[in-house]
Amino acid sequence: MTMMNEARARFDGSDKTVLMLRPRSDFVETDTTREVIVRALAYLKTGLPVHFRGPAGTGKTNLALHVAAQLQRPVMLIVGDEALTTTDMVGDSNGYRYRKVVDRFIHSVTKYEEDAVQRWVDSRLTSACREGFTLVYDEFTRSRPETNNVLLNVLEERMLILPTGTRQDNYIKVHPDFRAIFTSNSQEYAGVHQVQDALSDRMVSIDLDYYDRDTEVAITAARSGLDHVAAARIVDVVRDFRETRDYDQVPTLRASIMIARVTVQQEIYPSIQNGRFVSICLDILGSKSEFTNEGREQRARRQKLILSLLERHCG
Amino acid sequence: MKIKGMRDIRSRYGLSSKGIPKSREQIVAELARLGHHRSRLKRELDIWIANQQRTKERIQQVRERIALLQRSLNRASFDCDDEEESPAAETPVEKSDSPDTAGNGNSEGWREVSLEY
Repeated sequence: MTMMNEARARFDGSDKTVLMLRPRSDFVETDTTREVIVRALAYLKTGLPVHFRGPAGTGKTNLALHVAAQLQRPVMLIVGDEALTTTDMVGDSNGYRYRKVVDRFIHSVTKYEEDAVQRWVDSRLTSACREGFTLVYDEFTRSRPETNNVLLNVLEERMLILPTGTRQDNYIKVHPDFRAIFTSNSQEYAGVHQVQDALSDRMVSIDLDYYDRDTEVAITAARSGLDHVAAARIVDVVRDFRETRDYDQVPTLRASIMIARVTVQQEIYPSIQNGRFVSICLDILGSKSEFTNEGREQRARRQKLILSLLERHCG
Repeated sequence: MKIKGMRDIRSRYGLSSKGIPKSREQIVAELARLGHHRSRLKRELDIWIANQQRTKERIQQVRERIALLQRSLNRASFDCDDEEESPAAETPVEKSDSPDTAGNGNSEGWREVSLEY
């Protein structure tokens, strides 16, 4: 960005920032994820928006970012929020632009011309539509449904309709390169709104579930630096604990990565004989239970359950 | 000679007389007069040098000011371009199917932030 453009952006008050995505050095792509990526890219190349939905910890955001990176376009990232409004999505009038012209072309005649016009500042959706960037709208169901109404015309008629009287181009033709990727949690999650039919009807939803064992082991090993055998021990404990359904919050792949990272950092081996490793597992997996004074017995029972799983997989 | 300013007025203490005075009194008187003349010319030279220096500084200030205004002018014309893209509300504008309002499709002019996922 040139100095002139930077100065201009400051002068305008507009946020002229785009994301350039690139995978981390420990990014893992397995057959399972590759298959989803290929499908998603096929829809996107057709111009259809893609929606990754699934429970927490299934890698929706990561997958959305990776797919967006494959499109090799600058990315605009919006994160859904209860307080997000249409204005936050499309932009708003922000201050005034004042102009004064003093014309002394003829030295004996001075002509003054002054005017002040409201200054419009594009927000991320508008910028993405105008410039043909890729929009990643993470957790979009956390925004209120009326906030997302503006997307209906963008996705179907490929037209962004701005509030009237804001600026001359109230109707913005969406750039042909514009693509949209959405992610959302399952409907039963706290703070999540229902998707309006009109919006979900316009996108291709790909359901994601927890990855298969091999993928989880590969990701855990890559993210922590642990060898595959040791990573598999941790993943097996977490997966089996997930299967028991005896928890308040689902233990996800993140729990496996957390345990593995601390294990590496502490330079210990994942074994039931190692007290520190057992404590780490109890802390991280034990936190999946709600803490209430009445639930002591339940917590004790779950701790026993975790210990038995450790005995089975890390004996 | 057309008189242009005070400095162009001919001095009465010139060197028009090239002859050598004969009497001692005349020589002493001319020496004293020329001494004054030399001092006056020296003062004048100092003033000219100071003026020259000041003028050079003013030229430099003017150059800097011109550069500053030129930059502002460029920026103002940039903004005018924007307004030409979106003229005032009373100007009727015909919108065609071609995406006039769409960007150039690249991130030129945008600040890029790298994100690793």
